[in-house]
Order: sequence, then structure tokens, then C-alpha cells
Amino acid sequence: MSSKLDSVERWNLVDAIADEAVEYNETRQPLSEIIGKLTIEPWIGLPFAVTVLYGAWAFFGAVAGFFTDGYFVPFFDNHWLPWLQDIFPLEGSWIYFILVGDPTATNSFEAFGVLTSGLFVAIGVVLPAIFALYLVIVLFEDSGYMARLAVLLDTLFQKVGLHGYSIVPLVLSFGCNVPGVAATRNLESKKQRFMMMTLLSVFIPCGAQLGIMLSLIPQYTGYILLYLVVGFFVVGAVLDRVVPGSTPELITDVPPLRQPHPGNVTTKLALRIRGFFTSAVPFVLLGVGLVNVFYLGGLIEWLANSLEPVLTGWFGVPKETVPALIAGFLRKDLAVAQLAGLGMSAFQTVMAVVMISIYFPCVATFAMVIKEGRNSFGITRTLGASVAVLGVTLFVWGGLLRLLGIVLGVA
Amino acid sequence: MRSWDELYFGLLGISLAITGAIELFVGIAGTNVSIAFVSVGGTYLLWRGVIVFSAGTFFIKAAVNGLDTRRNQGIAILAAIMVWIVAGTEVLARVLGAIPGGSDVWVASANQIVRSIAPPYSPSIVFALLALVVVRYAVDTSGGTGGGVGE
Repeated sequence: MSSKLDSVERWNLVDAIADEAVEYNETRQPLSEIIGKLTIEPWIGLPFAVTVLYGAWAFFGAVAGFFTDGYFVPFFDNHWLPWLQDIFPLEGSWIYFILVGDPTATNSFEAFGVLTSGLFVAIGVVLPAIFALYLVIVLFEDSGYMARLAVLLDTLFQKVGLHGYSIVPLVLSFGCNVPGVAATRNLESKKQRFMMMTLLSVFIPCGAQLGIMLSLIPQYTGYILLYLVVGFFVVGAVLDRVVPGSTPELITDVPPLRQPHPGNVTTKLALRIRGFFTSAVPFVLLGVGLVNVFYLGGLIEWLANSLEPVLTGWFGVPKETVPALIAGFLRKDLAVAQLAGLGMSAFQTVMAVVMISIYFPCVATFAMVIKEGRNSFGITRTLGASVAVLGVTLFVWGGLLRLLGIVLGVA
Repeated sequence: MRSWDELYFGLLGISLAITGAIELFVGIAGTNVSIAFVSVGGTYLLWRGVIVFSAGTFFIKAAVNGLDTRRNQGIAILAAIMVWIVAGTEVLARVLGAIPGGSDVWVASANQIVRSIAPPYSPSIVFALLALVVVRYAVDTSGGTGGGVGE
């Protein structure tokens, strides 16, 4: 009987039963776990992260280019614009100018109307960009890689008062600043949101601008990008000391790597694109309408004339860059394209491209800064402070580039 | 005595590292180099050079430290994924760039689309095929579990 067994005999009995009942195999770590650990080791994880970010950007370039250049540009330029110019009444009136724009325009960018350039920018340019980038971001999130990327880059971003999850808006902005600014709402403090949306608006060129830079001035694009990225971190470090507010440390759970679930991916993607349609598109259209009102009121011309001495005196670029800078408010890539025909020196071209990048965000980004401002220090304070940072940065960082050019004897 | 795996991935790593270094130099010089059906050039060559070079060093590291451990097999798989990302995005860009046929056609003919993936190829596309051998590690090890199994 078991009651007559002493403790040693009982344990022997337990061992005997366990030997009969339990089968032991060698413990094997799942491959996904091994790879998951490797991706957060700096020496392996950082080159891999560079590859993943390159892949994300190359995917964006291919997909956004497919929709925008392959379909939306021909559709808007060859079908939508001529049709609208034909059927819209009141040609020559102010309402025609605001909604359709230039009646002689041959492409949707030049027309500058709410229903032509506005729709083209919102649907033809920004929508494909956010579709491609949101898809990549959702795949990162659902696979568990996003948390690893955040952990890996946290140390770098902590130096400028941000944290690892700042990589999301940063990556998005290299495709298009609009979803980048929208993604700043995921950052924890008001200070971080303000800093990130300001730094993105000032320093990060969008994919379209990078593309046109690479085709027009490939030999200088790398240097310009380097100068802008250095500026991002230098001005970020200054803002971290100047802007009040907290910079919380990153505390995150790193989930296991797993295959993204198609249902999750499509749901998240659909929700975000719906959000873009309901919140961002009206702001973009409104922004284009406002620019047209400013044109009608003579504000743009007044600005061009007023800024001419500053542009030529401080930055050393010719006055002919003024129209390109104004066009840059609508689309920076085409503003860069306009510079190509001005016959400037190499340094003046670099200088003008840097200025187009940092002088002001495009109208769509500007509209998103207004919208997202309420998640930071409030719309008025965020916008005012962003414009102030932008103005100071333009003069200091832009002036520093000219000084570098003078020192090197190329300016 | 090294296994055939280590020899293969060691050589693959050396080839990738040398190719990555060449891409870096060509990228800095801003030129294009073509040898037979392989072409080194195009946009973001510097980035691709850095990635291909890093993948090469990963393969070398895994081969030197021994591919009998699962950690080193994991490193080899990561290196292969890096090469596949570079090659995959290049093929995607080629195919998507060839599909739109302009405002009158909208979709190009199948012939034109297939022609877009004709040579010359970047080195990463060639190495992507050679790196497929790492799939055997994924197949060999993916069935493992985290602990003992009771009956």
C-alpha cells in the first residue's frame, strides 16, 4: 500500500511513473525566435534594418510610380483636365480660376485649380504614396519587426529627445510627408509630436522630390540628403533643449516574429486609407484653394518681390528661383524640376534645392501640420512655432551651406 | 575539416563582399559597369553596395563560425533575406514599370512586360538565386519546439 512507503520510495515511484509516462526530446529553438533575437543585436540588426528600410523605400518607389506615373498622370493630364476645361462654365471668372485654374494649362500641375491640381496631388500623387507606405508599415507591425526596429534605433533618436518609434513617421516621410506628419500622433508626448512634425516638414524630402533630384542632379543628391539628415539631428538636438515638455523613454514589448495575417493587414490598411480620405484630402483641397485665393489677392506676387533681395543677398541664388520656390508650396518635385532650366552653377543648384527642401512644407504637408497641431501644443501654437523654427532653420542652415560653399571656393 | 556548406557560403560571402565593394566604388564614381549579362549601376547604388557588402560579411561570419549551430544558420538566412530584398525590389520595379502602356494603351502587351525582366541583371539578382540554398536551414529547423513533449 502507498501509505507504507517512505519518502524515498515515494520519489522513486514518481520517477518510475515519469519515466514510463513522459517522453523527452531535445529542445529546439524555433528559427523565428533565433532570427528575432539576431535582428535586435546591433552589429547584425543595424545592417539588416538598413536593408529593410531600403526595401520599404524601393517598394514605395515601384508601387507609387506604377500608379502615379503609369496611370494617374496620363488620366489627369489627358482626360480629366481637358474634360473639365471643356465643360466648366464661367471661364475667366474667379470661381473658374480657383476651381479649374489656368484654362490654357496642358497638365494638371500647371493648372493650379482645386479640382485639377488639388485632386491630382491628393489622389494621383499622395494616395498611391500612402497606400504603398501604409502597406509596408502594416506589414512591419503585424510581423513584429516594427518593435525591433524601434528598439534598435532608440539610442539614436534619444539623442534628440525622440524615441525609437520615431522611425515610423521618418520612413513614411521619405515617401510622402503627409502620412509622416499624420503618424506623429503615435508619439507619446506633445513635445515629441511637435518636434517630429517640424523636423519632418523642414528636413525630409519626399519620394517624388528625391526622384526628380536623382534624375536631374544625381551627382549632388547624396550630398544634399546627407546635409538634410545631419540638419535633422542637429536642429532636433537644439529643439530638445529649447522646447518644453517631456521625452519619455521607450518601454515596449517585443513580440515574436510571425507571418502577417492577411485579414489584419487588409483591415488596418483599409482603415488608414479611409482616414486619409476623410481627414487629409479635404485639407489638401482647401490648401490649394487658399493658394489660389492668395494669388488672386496678389499676396504671392508681393512675397516674391519682397523676398528677392534676401534670396539673392543671403543665399546667393538668382531671383529667377522665386517662381520655383512658390511652386514648391504645391509640389516640391516639380519645383526642383523648374530649377533645371535656370542655368545656375552647380553650387547654386545645390543651394536652391536645399532651400526648396527646407523653406516651407508643401501645401498638403502644411495642411496636415495644421490638422495634427491639435494633438501637440494646439493648432495655433504648433503652427506658429513650426513656422518660426522653419524660418530660423532656413536662414541658419541655408546660410551655413552658403558659408561652406564660400570657404570651399565653390559659391 | 569544413563542411561543404561552410565552403559554399564562405565563397558566396566573399563574392558578395567583393561585389558590394565594387558597387560602392562604382556608386562613388557615379558610373556604370557592365560585364556580360551583369550590370552594376543605377540609382541608390551606394545603398545597394552597403547592403550587398554586409550580406557578404554575414555569410563569411556564419561560415567561419560553423554552420552546424542554429545561430549561424540564422545569420546566413538573414544574409540571404538581405540579398533577396535588394533583388526582389529591383525585379518588382522593372515589372511594374513595364505594365502601364501609356494613356492610349493602359496595359502593355505581355511581350513587353516579359521583356522588362530580360538581361542585364544587377549582381544581387544573380546572387539571390545562389542564396536560395539557405532554404534548407529553414526547412531543417523550423519544426523545432520550445520544450519537451509529454505523452
